[in-house]
Amino acid sequence: MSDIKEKSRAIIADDEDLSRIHIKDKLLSMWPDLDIVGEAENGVEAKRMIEELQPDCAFLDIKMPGLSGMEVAKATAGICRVVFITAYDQYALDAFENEAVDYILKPITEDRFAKTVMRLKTQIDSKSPINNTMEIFERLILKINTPMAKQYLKWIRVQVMDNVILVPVKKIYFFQARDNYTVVMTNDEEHLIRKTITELEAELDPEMFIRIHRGTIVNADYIDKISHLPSSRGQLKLKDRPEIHQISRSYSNRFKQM
Amino acid sequence: MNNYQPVDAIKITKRIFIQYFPVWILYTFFTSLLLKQVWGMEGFVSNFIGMLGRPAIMYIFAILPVIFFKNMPIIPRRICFATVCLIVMGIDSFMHLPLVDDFSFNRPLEVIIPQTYGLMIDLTCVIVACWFYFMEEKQYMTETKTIAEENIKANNEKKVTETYLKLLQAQIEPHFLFNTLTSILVLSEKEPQKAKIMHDNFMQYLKATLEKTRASITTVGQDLELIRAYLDIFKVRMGKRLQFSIEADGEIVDLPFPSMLIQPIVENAIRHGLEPKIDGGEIRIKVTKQEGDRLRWEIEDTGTGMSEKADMGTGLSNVIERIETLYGKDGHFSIKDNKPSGVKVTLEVPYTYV
Repeated sequence: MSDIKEKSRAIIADDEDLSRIHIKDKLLSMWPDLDIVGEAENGVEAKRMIEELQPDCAFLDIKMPGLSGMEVAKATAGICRVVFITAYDQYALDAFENEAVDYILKPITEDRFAKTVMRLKTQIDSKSPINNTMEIFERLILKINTPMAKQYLKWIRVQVMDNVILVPVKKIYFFQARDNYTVVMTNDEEHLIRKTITELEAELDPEMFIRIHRGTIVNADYIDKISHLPSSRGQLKLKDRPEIHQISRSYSNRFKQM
Repeated sequence: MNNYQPVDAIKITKRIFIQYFPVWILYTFFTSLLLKQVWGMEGFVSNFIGMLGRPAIMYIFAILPVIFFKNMPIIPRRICFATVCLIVMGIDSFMHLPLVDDFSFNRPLEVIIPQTYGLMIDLTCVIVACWFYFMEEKQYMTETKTIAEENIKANNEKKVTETYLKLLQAQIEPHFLFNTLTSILVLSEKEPQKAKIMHDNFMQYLKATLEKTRASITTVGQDLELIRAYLDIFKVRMGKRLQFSIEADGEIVDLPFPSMLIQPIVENAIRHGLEPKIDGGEIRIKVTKQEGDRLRWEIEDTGTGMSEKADMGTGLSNVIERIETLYGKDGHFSIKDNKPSGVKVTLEVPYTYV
């Protein structure tokens, strides 16, 4: 044979050893003349391998420490063909819908995997251009993150003596501005944090926390009663707490709908 | 009844009109008749019309504040209503009664009778207007309250079911399920003995998760066994990236303890702490006996630590809620930043719980 057919080269990236072995075994049994040139244990390693080894294709687990599979693909877009690996994950599956990117599910089933391998083989053999672009992966990352895109504060870090404690926001009754600090009040504890009321308002879930005054944000779950004064200002009392909070005119609109 | 419950004045007015107006017509008719026959008052028609319309006029004036200040609490609202009625009555009497200069006690009877009589009619009208309004308002408030309460109850029930389903889903998370199955699959070919152990651990975990609804009381020892099984599964999957140790005072292992209370904390440590960290880390679990028959759980990890935006996960928020319902104020739960990295969860509870 004059022209020795060049072996296709691949790398596999998965943080779990057994998972990697699983993919490798399946790949080699289905595609014996594939050369697995590298195995990465995390995203950072995978990115480096793709850049250094310039393989024909990369099998990337989506969930990896360091960089996720998607981030690796985005950083190395255009270098090689990419197949994502994931254990069943509804968010990921939804994200792949209508995208020209291949993925395989762990544990791998033969016929589904055979199709993926066939497609890859033909693409590599025919040297068709690699059509994955940064945009595709960017879109995928966005789609996968959508369920968590609106991220509100779930915890507030407070200093207690030498310790930093995480207080769940659910347990916080109200925030009140005090000089350069903000008072965080739970049922029976008071903490001071450095964030301002305005910063907090932007980061807290508006469904749960309502700003009623320039210096006050209250947890709507704990509202006991609201009394409206004819001047369109009002007063508000929270359950289990003795304080009476003033509702200022400019923030009172939110209560009209409640 | 909630004092701050707003009322719909227009609706109340409509109902008063439908319910009480016929009664009032009858009452006025017979009173006017009585006045004419017994007291010999003249002007049956004018008495009848005057008496009929007066409470209505009072009512119209008195209901205006209720319409405009929708959110007035009930007591000021009623006082306001009655006051307006009295003011209208005052104005009415002033315009209506024949102005006599003589208010002394030796007035002639034919002057005193119409004055007293006029005042009585006016007062009756005030009482009638207020009475009708108060009754109907109370009725309205009770009804709307019941509807609101029923809505809240239905919502709560829905919420409980939803939380339960979410919890179940979180505990048998597909991602965890399929990753573990993949590992067992590979081990069964390469190292069957290890596969068997992992399979047993997995079964134990699944069993505990599904049984949770039936028997929610286990012992500290059983719970630790479950956690060990769970961590062993991850140990196989994560290899050297996961180290763990479990320590417990010997005398407390037989104490009853709510099942699946600690597991979500451990799961959180893995998911938010160790899995995202390239080198992984360590989980240390310690259960100790404290003075005054109390148990202290410490779950520390050396992972990436928790972001303030880290999703509590259904598991962790459920832990906090369950501690509250099971132990009330006697249960202490805290999450701290661990030094130099990671998270430390401390749970201190009495031996007994609800």
